Amino acid sequence: MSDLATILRARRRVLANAVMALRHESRLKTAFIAVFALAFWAALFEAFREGFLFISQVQGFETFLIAIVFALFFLSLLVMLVFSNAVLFYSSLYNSRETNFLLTLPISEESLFAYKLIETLMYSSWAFLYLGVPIILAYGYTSGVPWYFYPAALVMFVVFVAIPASIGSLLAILFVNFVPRSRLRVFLAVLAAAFLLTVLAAIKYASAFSASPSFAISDISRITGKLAFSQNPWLPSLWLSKAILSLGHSRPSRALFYLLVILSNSIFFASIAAATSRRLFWRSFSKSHSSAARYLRSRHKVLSRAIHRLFFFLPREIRIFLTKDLKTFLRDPSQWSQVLIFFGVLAIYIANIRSLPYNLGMKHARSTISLLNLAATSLVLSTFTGRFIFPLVSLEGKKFWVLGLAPVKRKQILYGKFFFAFFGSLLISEALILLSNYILEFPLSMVVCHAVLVLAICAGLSAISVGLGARYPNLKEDNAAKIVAGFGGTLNLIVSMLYIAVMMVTVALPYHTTLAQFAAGAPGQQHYKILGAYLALSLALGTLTSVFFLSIGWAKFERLEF
Amino acid sequence: MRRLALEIKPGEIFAFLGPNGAGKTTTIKMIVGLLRPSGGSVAVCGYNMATQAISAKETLSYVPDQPYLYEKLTAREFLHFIADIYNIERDIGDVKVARMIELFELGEFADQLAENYSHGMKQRVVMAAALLHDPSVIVIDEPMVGLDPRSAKLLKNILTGKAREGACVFMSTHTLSVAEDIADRVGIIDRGDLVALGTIGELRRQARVGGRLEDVFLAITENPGV
Repeated sequence: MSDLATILRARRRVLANAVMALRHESRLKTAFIAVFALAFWAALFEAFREGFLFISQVQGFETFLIAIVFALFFLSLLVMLVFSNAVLFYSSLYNSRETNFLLTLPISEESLFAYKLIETLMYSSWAFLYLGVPIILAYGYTSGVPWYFYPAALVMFVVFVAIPASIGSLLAILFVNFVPRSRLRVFLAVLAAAFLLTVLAAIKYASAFSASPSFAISDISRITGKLAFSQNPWLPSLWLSKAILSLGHSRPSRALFYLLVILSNSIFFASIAAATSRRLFWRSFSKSHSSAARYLRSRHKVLSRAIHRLFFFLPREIRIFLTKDLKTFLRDPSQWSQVLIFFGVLAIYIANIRSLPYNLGMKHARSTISLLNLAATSLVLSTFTGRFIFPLVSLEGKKFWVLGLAPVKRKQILYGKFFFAFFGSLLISEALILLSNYILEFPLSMVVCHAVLVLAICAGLSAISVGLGARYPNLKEDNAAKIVAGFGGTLNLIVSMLYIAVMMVTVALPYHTTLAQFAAGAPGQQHYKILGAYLALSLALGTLTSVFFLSIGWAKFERLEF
Repeated sequence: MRRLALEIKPGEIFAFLGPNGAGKTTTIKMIVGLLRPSGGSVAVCGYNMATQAISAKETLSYVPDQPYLYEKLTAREFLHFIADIYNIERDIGDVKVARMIELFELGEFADQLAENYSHGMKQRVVMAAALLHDPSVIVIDEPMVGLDPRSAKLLKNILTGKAREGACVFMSTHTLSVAEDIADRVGIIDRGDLVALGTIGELRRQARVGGRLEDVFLAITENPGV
């Protein structure tokens, strides 16, 4: 395993050099990211602290409820970590040039597997620590724990993350082995559908207790009974939860017992994954590198024709770029499957609003839920414009000779990306918001207000991502995830969230408040005047934001050297 | 690949030619251990690549057409990493790294991060890394792409020098003039089949074409029956 040590030494040097390179980055940029990360972390800490303080007031049930909170929190993280590790391990082992390079060196396959597992574990564990540490600190702060609680909890986290990393890597190896490459799209679609059905089942299940007209202490046992799945003794998340709570209750020997359970299982799962890799690595690696050519000639024509007819009002050049970006999106399962899952979850949630207790006496509950739906749809949309639209200009970097030599204005390339983002997001978001309005049985005036607001939000978010993507491009990088992780991507996320906040505070919230005053009677002329004013305001804000961000993107893009 | 039987002798420079999509890269990937053949076997210096991969790779060097470097390592750090992987002792490694930096004229940028290198600079670093452990077999894919004329000349001299010292050089290229200049034997592959094998003179006779290798190559690949 000396080869493993050598690779890890090189990776440490890579990390050290990357940290050193930060010194040459803009201080403003580094400070900006650090402040935002700290603020998010502090907000998380405060939310957990408030939560624990609230629970501590439920006399006689606080220990029980905290156990439920921990078990659910760690179970959620466990599920997310398993999937993220599977994806990370797949990209790192089967879809990276580094693997090809290392395989030509005298390095054993065992060392390669161990290295990739460690790399995956490191990537995922920082996220686990980032999200997990605030809950630990908040719990310690509100519960008065012994001094050794904090370092011991950290050790437990580190040992725990090996379990999802090993399971995730195992899943990735099995996936590559047993799912034919040509069926990848079908498989991902089925997976997304299965996930959505699970969410639907979970909502139906949860609604069984959420529809109660009142909430009393007596309901606690009923609710916790519904959450009993998180208390399954076979779940590693429960072992971690019990270990942390034992530490908090000054029972170190019990905590040590659970730590050893976690450790032995970490080793067990890592051994299973290593044995599977030893047996299946070459088969899976060859499969992942075999070509799976597809012939798309007829579909290519249909899609192109449809785009040109549907968007006849746009200049021809913009339609060509729009078609190109849409085809790229549709042929990349990693993109559309994520969109399908996240917006699918939102659609299922909205379709099931009726099972929520909005009509049970809470004043303005219907209005509040519709505002929350609007905010949730906009926020999910902003993560997708950030993840998929922001890197579009950067991803043209190495291929820019095609566009750079084309007899078109560069502005049209940017507009092509804007319209691709705008129409795509508009289609999904309007559908969701109209569904929400239909289910909440809002009057037409409210539906119109929401529809126009969503239009403005889609335009603004698309322009922010395209504009900032052009303003802060990373032309050397092929990996969209790495492009998004940089300064421009972070700035894009923050600006997008601020924009949503502005639209909610200046248009949506005041309109809902105003509407409440008219609730008693039929809408009159004054109501329509107010509606008109808010519609004009949302369109003005959307237009100004779009023009501003496209302009700053355009100013840089025009002078950009590739 | 179908029925590919090839043996390259020590001290020989072998040029592997073929049209796009003929199977050159697949063959190279099998030789260097990136792909395993579904039938048959690959042996490097007597070591079976499937069952004795580590021993086989210790004798081998591979220079891909798209050079891979860790972007956040300098050339010097990358060369030391390669020396460590091949278990070259630290003192000897230092000397060899210094010699390679000098030979490939990397001194000017040896301590800069690789992310700032041009394609040609990266190619030179990868060449230097490939020669660091004195390999018995050098597999090189499109050696001249991205190299300036001076570096290309240097590389040709190095490859012929290595062959004279007893190394075996397996070179895949579309630059037929390079193959003509330095190759002892040439193999032409087309649609997965080895359609010609021999010295350039023998290929001329097979193709019944005199003159340059380019004419011979076109005659053989455009007329499969030749």
